[in-house]
Amino acid sequence: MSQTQDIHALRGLIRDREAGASAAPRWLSWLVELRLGAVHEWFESEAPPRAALAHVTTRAIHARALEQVIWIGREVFPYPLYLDPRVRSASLFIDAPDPDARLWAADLALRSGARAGVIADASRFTLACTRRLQLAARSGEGVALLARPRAEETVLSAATTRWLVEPARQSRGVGWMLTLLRNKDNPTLAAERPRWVLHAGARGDDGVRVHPVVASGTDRARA
Amino acid sequence: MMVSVYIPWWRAERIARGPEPRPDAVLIARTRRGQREVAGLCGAGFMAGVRPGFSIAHARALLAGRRVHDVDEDPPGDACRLKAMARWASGRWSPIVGVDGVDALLLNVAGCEHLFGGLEGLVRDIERAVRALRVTPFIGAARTVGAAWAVARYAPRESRVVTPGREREAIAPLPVAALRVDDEVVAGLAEVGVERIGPLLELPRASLPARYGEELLLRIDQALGHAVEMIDPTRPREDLLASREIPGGTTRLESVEVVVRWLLTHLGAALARMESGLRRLECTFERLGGAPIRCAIEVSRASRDPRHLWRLLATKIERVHMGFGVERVTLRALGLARLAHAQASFAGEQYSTLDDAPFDAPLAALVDTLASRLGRENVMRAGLVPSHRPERAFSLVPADSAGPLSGDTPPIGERPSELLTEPAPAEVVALSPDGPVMRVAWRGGSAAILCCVGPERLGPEWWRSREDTRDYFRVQEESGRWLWVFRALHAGAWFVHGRWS
Repeated sequence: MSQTQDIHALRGLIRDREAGASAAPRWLSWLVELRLGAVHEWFESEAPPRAALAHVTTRAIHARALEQVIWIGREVFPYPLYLDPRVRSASLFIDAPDPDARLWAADLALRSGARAGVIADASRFTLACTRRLQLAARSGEGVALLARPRAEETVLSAATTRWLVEPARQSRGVGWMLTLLRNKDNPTLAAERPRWVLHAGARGDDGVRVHPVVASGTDRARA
Repeated sequence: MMVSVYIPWWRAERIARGPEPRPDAVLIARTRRGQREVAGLCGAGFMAGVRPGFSIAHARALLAGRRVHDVDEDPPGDACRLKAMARWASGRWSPIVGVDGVDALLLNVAGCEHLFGGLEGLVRDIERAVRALRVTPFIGAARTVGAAWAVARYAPRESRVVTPGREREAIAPLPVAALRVDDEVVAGLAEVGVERIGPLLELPRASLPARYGEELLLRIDQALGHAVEMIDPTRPREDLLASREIPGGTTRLESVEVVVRWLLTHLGAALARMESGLRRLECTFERLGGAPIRCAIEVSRASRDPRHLWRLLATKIERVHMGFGVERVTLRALGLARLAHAQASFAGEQYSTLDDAPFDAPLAALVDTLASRLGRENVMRAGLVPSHRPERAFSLVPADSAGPLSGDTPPIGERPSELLTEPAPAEVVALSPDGPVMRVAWRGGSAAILCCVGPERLGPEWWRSREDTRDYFRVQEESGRWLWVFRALHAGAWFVHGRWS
């Protein structure tokens, strides 16, 4: 890991300690910038990043940071057999027909107090939509993970972080490359565009292994 | 006066009303001693000579050349439906309506005839309303249950309404079976040449019990009105009502909302006294000079929380057209279910009013609100189905429905995160039919394959023998993306069925 990344990681830990446990929970120690009570956007070019979002919420469910996962919009529905059994039993699938209905459902879920990870199809969402969700996320105990097409990367948004999901070419098994595009809490880190590789099918509680990618392009386990 | 509404084919007629293509004849089947036999049939089957008790094969032979649909009988379901029909009838013609066997209703209409212009008018009204349900009724009316039962089934149409005091003449020409006696008794009387009720009534009364049992005399007495016979009425559904009149009517939404909230609070209090909650709430707005408007909400678990119910109802009320004014609002609680006892107050803190009611579990409230706007079928949970076919291995069921949701699944990574709704045809280059896959072309693109894992053979379920066995491969494209492709063994065609996205 580069020196800059180390410094930012330490700063993040200090900030988390100061802000309390809920601000940056341990379940996201591998993605320190992803926190509860905020909106995070995930871009993929071909299809919604169902798998990456499923793994994020799996880890949150296992760490008891979230109690429910709410999938909004048929486009983001994962194949249920792909899901971890605990996530599957904690999942609700909402088939909302249009952007207005998806926005309403996501807003309602975030404000419901159900401690839910809300995964929504956010295609065609405007800046006003993301602002509304950001406020809803702040008022509740959940987190909003919005799946957006890569073509909307230039659309203005109030999301706290933005991520790019791509297939990991060099991985032997199924894997994805996650690139942090924006982080309002830590703009310096986002400017460096740090990347992580997420491997599915690894042995462990949630079947996932994640490690950062250093500048040279070689992988190194983080923890 | 008693009315017997005999609807012998209603079970088959209900199924015959199903989706297209509709069958020419429907048979209700039951299994007895290992053989499927006819338990019920429709009018077309009856006209073709089919009778209950025939084997299904025999019945199908009689109906040769027609599209015949046979379904297994559903006694509990049919009993519920018939009971529902009895409740419906009790709200229209008489409060005393009972279920008679599996295919008839009995109504005690004493004192109700004048509302329909006499007994003839009442019978006509019943026939018209029952026919509107698209079933065929045979209706008999008489002073006694026995006579009404007999004429409904055995008398010609013009003599199915019996004038009081003329029961003897009405049933005399009917067969002995019209007295509701066992087949053995009917056969025994037939042996001595007594096949009609008239000659039977001429026989010395004292000699009958010794030969044919006490029941025969009882049935004769019941038919002639010498013995009492009561209807066991269907109990009305346990609904709870709260209603309030608005003098002069109002077109102001705010006023209607105040009334509904007031009613909800009182309904919640009544439910609390019963230690119950409701699953469905119907709200009726009676309007000046217009038809009443109804709206309904359903909740995922029984609730009596006025605030929660108001949240769901408020969006419906906004869309109600007030017309010239709403003059009465009625709330009807349906699907009552027992709720655990909840403390009504503590240290002077009251929970029974709208503003202070404790809120239900957040998730249940969320599910109800979502279902209220998007529809119950669009708020789902995922359940597993014991099938190794990927497209049938799961089901999305309404979130408020009960059902098994757990099951064994393959390890994470062996199934894709996205399963295509329909397998997409693909052009595949493989070294051999069993793989490895070298190139996949689908949806207008083509990519070389870096890695191929498989095959995993998934056969069809044995009862779906027409389906093809599939060999599944996990393949990685040049871009790094993984696809789930399969080869249909007999057809030899390749398809993409999913991807890890």
